[in-house]
Amino acid sequence: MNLTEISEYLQQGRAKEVRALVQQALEEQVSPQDILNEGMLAGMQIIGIKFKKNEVFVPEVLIAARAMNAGLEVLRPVLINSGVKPIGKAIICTVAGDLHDIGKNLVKMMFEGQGIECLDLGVDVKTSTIIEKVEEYQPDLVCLSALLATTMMEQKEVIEALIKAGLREQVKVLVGGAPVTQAFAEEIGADGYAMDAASAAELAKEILLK
Amino acid sequence: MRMTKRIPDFNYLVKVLKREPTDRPVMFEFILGEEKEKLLVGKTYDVSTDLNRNITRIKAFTNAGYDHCPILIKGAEFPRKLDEHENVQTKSLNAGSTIIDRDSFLRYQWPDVSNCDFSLIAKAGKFLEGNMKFIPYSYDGILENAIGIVGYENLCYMLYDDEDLFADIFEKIGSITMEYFEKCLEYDEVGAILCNDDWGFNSQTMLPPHVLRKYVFPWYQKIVKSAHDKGRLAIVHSCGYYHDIIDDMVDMIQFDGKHSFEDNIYPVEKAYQDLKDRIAILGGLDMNFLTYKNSEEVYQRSKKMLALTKQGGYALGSGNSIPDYVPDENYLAMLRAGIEK
Repeated sequence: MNLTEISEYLQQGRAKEVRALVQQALEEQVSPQDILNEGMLAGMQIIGIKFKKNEVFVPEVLIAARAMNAGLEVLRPVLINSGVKPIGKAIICTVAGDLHDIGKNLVKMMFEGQGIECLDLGVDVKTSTIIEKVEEYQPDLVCLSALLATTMMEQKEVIEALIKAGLREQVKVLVGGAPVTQAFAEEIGADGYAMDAASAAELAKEILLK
Repeated sequence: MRMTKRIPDFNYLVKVLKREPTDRPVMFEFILGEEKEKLLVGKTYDVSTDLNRNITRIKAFTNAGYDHCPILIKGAEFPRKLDEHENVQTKSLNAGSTIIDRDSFLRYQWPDVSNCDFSLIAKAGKFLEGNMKFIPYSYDGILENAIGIVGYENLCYMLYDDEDLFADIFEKIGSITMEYFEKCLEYDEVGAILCNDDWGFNSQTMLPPHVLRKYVFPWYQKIVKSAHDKGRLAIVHSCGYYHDIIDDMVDMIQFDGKHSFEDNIYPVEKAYQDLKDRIAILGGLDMNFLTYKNSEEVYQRSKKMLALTKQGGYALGSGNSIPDYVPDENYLAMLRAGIEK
């Protein structure tokens, strides 16, 4: 089977076709790792590149991610049985006092498109909850989203709480959101900042593969 | 607190919107926070009735030194699901899911513009000082209301899963919004309209430009034409990335002024240089800047912006609004810069 076909259908958001092709590939004894990497993740990576260049927009990203999830429903049990592991684990959330989730959700989709496992804590997440989940889930990355000039200060609080809990060295902290800048990220001691979801996923992959 | 003895004169804002020079700085703001209004009107703050609410706003805008006053006529709100979160400062664009399919579309309680009491414009208009004029705005814009009642991600999926329903939702919201503005434009107290609809986020538009061109912009083209036909001007307040749609705003819709700029996306100084010959630039002092810099820095940037824009087509103001978290001294520093000759 030509795995490019899976990638192309995925980019078009054609979930039914992706699911059927993944099933067919498994039946043809194609390696689940290859289906994942050369079919689905390759498709999502192209979507990410096009998103950065404003060649595709959020609706196209959403339907592509939906198609990827349809394929993963078939593939995931096989991947687990084969011992295929993600390239890293991330906790992602919108900080306390902030309900915005569009950017966070996009980052999660792009991360999954890079083969990163994500635990999404949702929106308006208290710093204490983030600390608890870091201890429990042991992620490589903690990704914090904020939309307002006021709520972005919560990102600083989370970093301070990670230091206080003795967890700061275990994780890399990435921050993002409309008011956040590279300068702000550096000022609060974050490990990275990205302007958009696709750049965030590229940065995360780069950090994880170092 | 009255910042200036200046008597409001809407002709100054008209000159700005027509990109002509003015003999004094002109300021523009859309929304002032409750505490900022209290700061400006002191003990006379009164929002006990719709009329008093608008009289208070007129006083606040007069005392600050503006030549206009925004006005919202209630009654045309699009019902949405209430948010269960408390003590939060933002709302999720995914919260809405009032319309999820054709059945819920048919059951939806669409606002009836005939429920709006537009006579408030005339009643409150009696309290306008000098030649101040109202600038009506709506309770969110066409895209914002679609997102509000469907949910952003749901709306994105709907574009692919049921485009007919997607189209019908925009048709309905667009026609109601148009009717709202047409009613506002019947009043002499109205000098311009403000179409408030956020079309972008940091790096791109909320929906692909071709989708905005098909479902959103034609409505604004009609609304702006209606304003122009009645001798009024039209301003767009739209946050976020706009480079892919600026030609639509200027050439297709023909807005006279653009409000809302973010340093993170494109600083207002650059926006003015790029667009000064095509559309008036309103406000633009970034919200982070206004919030976290000191009052002297705010004052200096305001003065520099006014110096940069001497040839006309600019009104000083914030990049978005003046929420209560903007320090009073910073807001007052910006006003001071705009009031001095």
